[in-house]
Amino acid sequence: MKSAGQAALVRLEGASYRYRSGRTGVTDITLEVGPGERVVLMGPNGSGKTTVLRLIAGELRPAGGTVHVMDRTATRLTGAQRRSMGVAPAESVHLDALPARRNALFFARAAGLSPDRAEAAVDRLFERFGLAADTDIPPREYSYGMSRKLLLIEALAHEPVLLLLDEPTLGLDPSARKTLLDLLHRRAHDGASVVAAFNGPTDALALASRVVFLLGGRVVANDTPDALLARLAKRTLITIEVDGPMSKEADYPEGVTVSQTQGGLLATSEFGPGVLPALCQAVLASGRTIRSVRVKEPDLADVFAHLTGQHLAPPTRSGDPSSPGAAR
Amino acid sequence: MIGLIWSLEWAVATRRRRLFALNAVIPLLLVGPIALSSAPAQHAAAVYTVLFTIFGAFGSCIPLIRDGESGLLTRFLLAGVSPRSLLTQRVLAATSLDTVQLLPSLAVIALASRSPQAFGGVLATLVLALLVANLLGIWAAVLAGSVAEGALFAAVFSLLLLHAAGAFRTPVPGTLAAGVERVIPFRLLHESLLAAAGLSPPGSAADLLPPILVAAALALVTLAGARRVTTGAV
Repeated sequence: MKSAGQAALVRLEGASYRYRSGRTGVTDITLEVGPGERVVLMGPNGSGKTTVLRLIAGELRPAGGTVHVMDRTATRLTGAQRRSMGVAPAESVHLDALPARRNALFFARAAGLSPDRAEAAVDRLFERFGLAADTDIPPREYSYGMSRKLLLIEALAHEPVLLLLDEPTLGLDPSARKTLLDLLHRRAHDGASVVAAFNGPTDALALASRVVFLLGGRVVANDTPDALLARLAKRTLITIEVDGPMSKEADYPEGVTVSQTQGGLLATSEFGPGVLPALCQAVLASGRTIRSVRVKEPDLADVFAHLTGQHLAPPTRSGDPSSPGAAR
Repeated sequence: MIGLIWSLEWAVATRRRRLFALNAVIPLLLVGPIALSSAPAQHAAAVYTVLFTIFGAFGSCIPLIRDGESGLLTRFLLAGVSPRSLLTQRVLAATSLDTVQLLPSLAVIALASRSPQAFGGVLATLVLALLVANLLGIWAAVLAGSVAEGALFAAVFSLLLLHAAGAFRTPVPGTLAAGVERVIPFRLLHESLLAAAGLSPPGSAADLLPPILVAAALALVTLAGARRVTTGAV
């Protein structure tokens, strides 16, 4: 959370946005981000994560409410304020005619770094992201992941005080993912604020000092990861794949809530995995055959599902190895 | 950050060698046969003026729409490049690139001309015409919803102004059309090409002032609306 006495770097008060088509982007978003905070926006596709980032970046003008960044209206930031921000949008757009290093140098120089400092910073990041051998290649020849790395280098090279990142781990290999998370933690430790949108719970948990759940353009929850996980404390998720019809009503053990899913059952145990033998016995006694059993401690995706009744959509090209439902 | 966009535009243009060469060769393919033929000088001057003007208008309009659609413009603005600086540097870079790419065509016209000594004036008026054409191209990009629309608008704006500049007919003296003709910057290029062909004497210094003032006004209006221009093209 923002430390007492520290002014918020980002402040949204009742911010709303509606796209030209009439689709609601976000409604009544109130959010503050202080120095050193790592705020993660989570929600399924279309929940408003990108819209919030674009409002903070000043790319979109709110239809209602206000968005202030560094005490100025986000759409009216000074050049110096803009240069102190690092933005990595969802789309990796580069100057495809120029080599990757030239792209990164342009953004570092645009952010106000001297030529020498820009070169040093860019080269260091190319090295850290494992692209040092590919700096002279134009981005159009880069793979998706390499292109994402270049985008992150461009956002990070000038050591911004506010980072706005849309799905920053998407397409990254595990090594680059770790590098990115290390860099973001270091920037936050030095006082920078990070606002990042994620789909996957593992990366979100690895970065966040605070998590904001969004659904349908509204904030559903805004709390620390620990506080959110505590809402499902002592609950264990048990997924059972079954065959055959149920011949008689199952007598499930106490403290276990069971719901039917496609091809199986999803059980939530208040007493941990110890209920597993009794639960399996109850399923077998109801006339069904068990094909597999998976036991899992709840993560942020489960908390989201618990709070909203909806699941986070699995990321399409996730760098997050444990999307919802991964087995232990 | 001064010159950053300018140098970027030049780096991109010179990196795309094939496109750079085509931009020099295609005007040459159109100018060469006319310059080396026995085409009437009035017609030749009109063709050159139209070609060079549309060349300039397309040169700023199409890349601006393309960069707006791809999200590159937004990235520049979010990186702290001011809309005014972005537009100023892009227009100046595009004007200078257009001039360089049209130099071979200009050289051919000069070689075939009866008054090669008049080509200092042609070069100067070409630069002014290209600057104005590039500014027009930016406004065409703002109004357009796609690259095709942008090309259409750029061509229509240019042709209307060329018509008003007297490239296709000489307005009757004393009429409103004649008054409008005096202030359109493209008139200077057309007249300098006619002068180089020995058809009319070079204009006086007083003739230069109104079109230059109009060009300056267009530049100021474009810069004043830079924020709208850059976001409108996104």
